[in-house]
Amino acid sequence: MIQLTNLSKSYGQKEVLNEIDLEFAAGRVHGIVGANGAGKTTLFRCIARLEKHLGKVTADREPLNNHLGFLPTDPYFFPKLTGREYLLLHANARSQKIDQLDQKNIFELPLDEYAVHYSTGMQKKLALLAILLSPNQYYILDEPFNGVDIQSNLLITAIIKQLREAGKTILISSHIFATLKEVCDTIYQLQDGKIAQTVDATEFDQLESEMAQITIGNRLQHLDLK
Amino acid sequence: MIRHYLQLQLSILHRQMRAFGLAPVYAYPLATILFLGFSYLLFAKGSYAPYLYVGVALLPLSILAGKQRNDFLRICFRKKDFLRIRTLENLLFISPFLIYLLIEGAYLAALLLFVVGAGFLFLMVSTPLTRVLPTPFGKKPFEFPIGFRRYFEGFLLIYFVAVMGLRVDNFPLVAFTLGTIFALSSSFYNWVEPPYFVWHYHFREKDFLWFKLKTAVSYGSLLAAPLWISMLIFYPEKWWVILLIFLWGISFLTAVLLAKYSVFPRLASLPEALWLTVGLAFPPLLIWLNLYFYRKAKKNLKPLLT
Repeated sequence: MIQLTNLSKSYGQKEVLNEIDLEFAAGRVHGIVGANGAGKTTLFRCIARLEKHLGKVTADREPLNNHLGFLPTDPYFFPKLTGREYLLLHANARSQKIDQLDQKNIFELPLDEYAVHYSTGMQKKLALLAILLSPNQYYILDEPFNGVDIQSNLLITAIIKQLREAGKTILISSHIFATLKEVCDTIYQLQDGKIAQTVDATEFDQLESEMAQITIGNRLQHLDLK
Repeated sequence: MIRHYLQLQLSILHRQMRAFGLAPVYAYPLATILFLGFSYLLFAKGSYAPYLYVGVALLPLSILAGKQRNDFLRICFRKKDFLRIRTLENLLFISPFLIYLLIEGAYLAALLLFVVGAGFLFLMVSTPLTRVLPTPFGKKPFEFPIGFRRYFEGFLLIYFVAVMGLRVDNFPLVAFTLGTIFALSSSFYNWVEPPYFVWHYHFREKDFLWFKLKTAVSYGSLLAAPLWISMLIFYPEKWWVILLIFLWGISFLTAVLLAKYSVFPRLASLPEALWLTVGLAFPPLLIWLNLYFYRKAKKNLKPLLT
C-alpha cells in the first residue's frame, strides 16, 4: 500500500500537483490518466522520492525506494553500454545476482549490443526487464507500452496481471486507453494538479467517452483538413 | 533566419559557460589567453607544430559535421541556408587557428586547414561503429566500460608511447604515461548520470560511495596495470617512485569521483575544478581533498539514498 497525503508540488510559481490524497492498495493496478503536462510523471517522481514535494508519501514497506521498481517514461541509456551491462548495473544497485540471464531475457533483446542503439520499444523493454529482475513490492510504470510491438504489448499486459496476482501495488500511466481498460482496477484522472475523477472498472467506458468528448469536441473544425 | 540560428547558438554557449561557473565576460578573455598560450607553446616546441595545430583545429569541425546534427539542420533549413550556416560555423571555428598560422608564416599549413575545413562542409561524420568493444570492466558498469570504449584510441596511444619509452629507456616518459592513464580515467567521472541511476541503489550514501570508490580503485589499477607492472620489471630500483605515482594517480581518481558526487546532480564546476587542479599540482593536498569531498558527497547524496 502507498498513501499520499496532501501531496503538492510546484516549480517556482507553477503549481503542478495540488494537495493530492490517495491510497494505492496492494494487489491492484492503479491507472493514472491526464493530458500531456497534467502532472502524471511529476506525481510518479514525487512518489519515488526523486522530487522534493510538500505533503507525505508513506508505504507499508519502508524505505519505499528500496522496494520500488520504477520505469520512467523516457528511460536513460548510457552510450557504449550493452544491454547485458545495463541489466548488471541495475542488479548491482540492488545487490542482486542474476543467474541465467539469457533465459530471463523474455523480450529476446540483443543483450550484447549497445542499448543506446536499440529502438524505442526495445529500450523500453530493456528498462522494464531491469526492474523485473529485482524483487519489488511496488511498481511505477510510466508509459510502459510506449513504442513496443504488439507481441510485447501482450507480454507486458500479462506481466502486469501476474504482478497483481502476486499482491504487488502497481501504478501505471498510458495514453492508450484500451490497454489501461484491460489491466487497471481503478483509473484516476489527473487534471490541473488535482484528481478530477476516480473511476472503477465498470465505468471505464463512460470515462473514455467523456475524455474523448472533452478532448476532441469541435476542435477539428479549426483545421482545414479537407 | 541564419542570424536567429547563430544567436541561439551563442545563447547556448553562454548558458554552458555560466553552468560551468564562468560568466561570458570572463570566459572570452580566459579562452583567448589559453588559446594564445597553447599556440605559443606548441610553436615554440617543434617543427611539426603547424600540422599538429591543423589536427587540433579539425577536431571541432568533425563534431560540427556529426550526421545527426546535420540531418537536423537539413530538415530545418533550405539547402542554401544550410550551406550558409555550415560555412559560417566552420569559418568561425577555424579562423583563430588560420590567423595564428598566417602570423607564424605557416602558409602551407594554413592552406591545408582552409581546404580541409571547406571539405568538412560536404562531409558527414557518421556515428561510430556499433560493434561492441569487449572490456574487462563489464561486471561493474558503468563508468569504466563506457570510458574505456569512448577513449579506446587514447589508451592505445598511451600504451604505445609507454612501449616506446621503455624501448629507449626513458623513465620520465614512461612515468608520464602512467600519470596520463589515471588522468584519462578520471575523465570518466566528468559528467553526471541522471539521478535515477543513484536513486536505484539499495545502499545508504556511505555504502554507495564505498562501492563507487572500490570500483574506481580496482578498475583504475587494472587499466594502469600494463604500465606499473612493466615499470616494476624494467626499473625495480625505482619502485618507490612508481608507488608514489601510482598513489598520486589513484588519489586523484578518487578525488574526482568524490568531487562529482559532492555536487551531484549538478556538474562539477569551477570551484571543484580549481581544488582538483591545486591537488594535482600539490599531491599531499589530495588526501585532504578526498576527505573533504567525501564528507560533502555523503551529505549531498543523503536525500537520494534514504
